[in-house]
Order: sequence, then C-alpha cells, then structure tokens
Amino acid sequence: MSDDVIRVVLNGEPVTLPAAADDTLLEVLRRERVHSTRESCGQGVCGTCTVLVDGRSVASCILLAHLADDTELETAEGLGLPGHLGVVQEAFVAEAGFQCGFCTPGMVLAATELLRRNPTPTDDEIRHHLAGNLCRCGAYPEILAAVRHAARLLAEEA
Amino acid sequence: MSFTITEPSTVTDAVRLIAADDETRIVAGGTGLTLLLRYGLLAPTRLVSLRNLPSLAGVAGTGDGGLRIGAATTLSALEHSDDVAARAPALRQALRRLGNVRVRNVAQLGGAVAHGHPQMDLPPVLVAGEARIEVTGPAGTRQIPAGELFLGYYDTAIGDDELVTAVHLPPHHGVYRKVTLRTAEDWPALGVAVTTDPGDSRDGPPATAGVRIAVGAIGDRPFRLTDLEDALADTPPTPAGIAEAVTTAVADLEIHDGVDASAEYRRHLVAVHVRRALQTVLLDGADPDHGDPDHGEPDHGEPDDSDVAGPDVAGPDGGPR
Repeated sequence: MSDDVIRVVLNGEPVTLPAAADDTLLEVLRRERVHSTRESCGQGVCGTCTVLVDGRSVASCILLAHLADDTELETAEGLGLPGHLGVVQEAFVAEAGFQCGFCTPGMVLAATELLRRNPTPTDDEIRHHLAGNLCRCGAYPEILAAVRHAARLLAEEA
Repeated sequence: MSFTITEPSTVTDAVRLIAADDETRIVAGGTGLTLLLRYGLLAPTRLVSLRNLPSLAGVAGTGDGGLRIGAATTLSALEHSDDVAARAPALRQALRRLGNVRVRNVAQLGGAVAHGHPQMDLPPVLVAGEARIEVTGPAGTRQIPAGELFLGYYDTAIGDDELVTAVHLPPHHGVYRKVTLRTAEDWPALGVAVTTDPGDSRDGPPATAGVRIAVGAIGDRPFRLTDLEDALADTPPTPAGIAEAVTTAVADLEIHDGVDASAEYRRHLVAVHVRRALQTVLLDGADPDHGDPDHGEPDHGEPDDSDVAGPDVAGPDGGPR
C-alpha cells in the first residue's frame, strides 16, 4: 500500500500510474495529461476536478490518489472525444450548455452520474445534483436545458 | 508532507496502529483531512485508511425505532437511506444540504463526527438528536453522548487511540435549518436542529415540553439551548408564545464575533431560525418560509433571501469571506 503507484481502470483501460502517498488524484491525472480534469478552487467546492470513481462523482482535488487505488475512473475523455461525443456531451453542445467551457467536463460528469441513477430527473433534482458545480460564466439555464436534453436523448436510445 | 498509508483489515489492527504513536492519523473519506494536509496544518508520518474495513459501513434499524449507523457509511448512502428518512428526518435534511454531492459521495459519518470543525452540519443534529457515538480503543468500546463529544475547535472527547466505529441515533421528529453566507452548498454560518420524540406527536403536534434545540457553527462547538427548552415547557404552543420565548432566551446567549459574521448578526440569525424551526416542529408542521412541510429540501440550491444578510444586518466587512 505504500507503493509508489496506483492501479486503476482509466476510461476502460487498466493502467498503473505513479502516485506518491501525498498526491491527490487530480495531480496524478494531470501528470497523465488527462486535461479535462481541472483544478480551480482546490477545496472540493467548485466541481471542475470532478472524476467518476466507480461511478460516483468525487472531487479529485481533495481525494488522496491512494484512496482511489483499485477503482474504475471515468473522466470526460472517457465519455467521448471530438467526432465521437457521448450523448450527454452532444446535449451540452446542442443546448450551448457552456460559455468558456472550463466547468464543462465536471458538469458533464455530474450530469452523467445523475442520469445513470435517475433517467427522468425533475428540474429540482437536476438543480440539487448540480448545486456544487459552479459555472462562473453563469450558463446555468442552458446547462439545465442540456441535462433535460440528455435525458430525452437517452430515453430515445433506450 | 511525507507519510505512508496503511490499510488495516480489522478494527483491532486499526486501533493498534493509531495507538502506536502521535504522528498517526486516521483517514476515512479524507475530504476534511486532505485540506489540512494541503494547507500544511497537519504533518502526519502515517495515515491509517479505513478502506479495508467494509464492516464499518451500513445503516441498521434498532429496536427503539432508531438507527445504528456504521462509521464508514458515506454521507450519500445516509442521504438516500429510507431508514434515515423515516426515523431521522432532521439528519436527512442536514445531509441534503451538506457540501455537495462529490463530498457526500466520499465523506463518511465517522469522519464528520471526529473532525471536530465547528462549522459542520451534522454535529448540531447529533446533539439535538441525543446520539451516542461508539468509539473503540485498546481498552474496548465505549459510547460518548454527542452533547459531551464536541469540545472545541478540532477538539473532541475521542481519545487519540480511539476510532469512531458507529453512531447510535434514537428516532426523532424534527427539522434542520441551515444558513450560508456565500453559496447554497457552503459551510453553515448557522445550523439549527430541533427534535422531539416521535411518540410526542402521535396525536397531533408535539408538546412544547421535551423539545430539544441545538445550534452549530456560531461558536467553537454545537450547544443545546437548554434555557429555551426549559422555558418552552411552560409556554403555550402558539406563534406568539414561541416567538416571545425565543426572543428572551436568545438575548441571554453568549455569542462572540466570528470570521464570517458579527456577534450581532449571529444573534439575529439564531433568533430567526430557531423560531422558524420551532414553529415547524411544534405548530402545524408548516415551514414558515416555504409552506410545504414535507418538501424536505426547500432551497434546492437557490439562494433564499431570508437566509442571507439583509440590509439591516451586514456581514463583518460587508462582503464575503
């Protein structure tokens, strides 16, 4: 356990990543050039560093990397890349659910977590779930529309 | 900072490790501890992780109608527990507005108890709910009443060689009200928990005698408003009667200036929110702000004008921290 690595499944691929005991998961992922995972507040408050760990959203800036050893990690890259976007990402594009885009990976991951658990959320449930993901541009109405849009797309797929 | 992380697989081993020296700290979810490490406020040589102790997680109903909650239960698991919703509504309300979903997915109840930071949501609920905190150390297991556990800033009655293993919470009716000064999911600037025994309200609203009131986040520890509890026993259960008792009791409270709010503003918040919580619990169950008593989570992350500084009660420097 005092190994200098963690073994995880990152976006579907088993990998061994260098990780000191005092590294946060965010620091480990940034070194691996997972650039959708971003630090802003550094206190678990703002949501830009969101990663799904075994399907649950976490603030990677305040999670010691070794506490995520032997888990499955998902970042926005795992949901889809340009040309092959995932459904939730497509919905954010369709509704312009962003302005500068800095918060968008965290928003998309938080929305993904919500929709997997609750495919037909009410507006109140969407707001409650996303309450800790901050958008400094103030694109909240469009983000709410994007999550609704994603729920519709996922229902059509099913 | 430089430390090792150990993952014991039994409580006995965990206790042995934390009892070994003063430079060892327990890490559960780490949402509080990691901040202290990042800010350089702690420099342990070893962290004892509870990841390999899944037996410490889980919620179980108890014979008295209450709950036994394992210390390693995540706050999300508690938030979504039907048992918590049915038996401990004030706890559920507090969980719904505690931090954000990413924190609740990781943070664990034992950590929320042991952290001992004054500005946390759950301590006043545990104090008003008369929870008992089960801790295990080299000498065995003992229970600490929540009202005797929180001693001050990062200071608790939990021994350095003891591990929180469970929380025992009797059933209650009640509410939790939270005030934040920045965003909706911020740390509380005030938390108010009001509870009664479920039996008290079987045939209508509960009696004013027996109501328990605890406030958190305005001092270095949560505390009961015992003078007000006593006064309410002789108070008619009317809006005017409750308001008068609250005004009198809160005027006598010792409240100090804080980094986030002046003593004057804190006193104002306590008076308003204790009164509203009591009205909800003792009168018709209505939330004075929102009308629907069963809504559970009235604010939905949106600012509530009644919960932020108004023109007559500005913050200490007129702005955010």
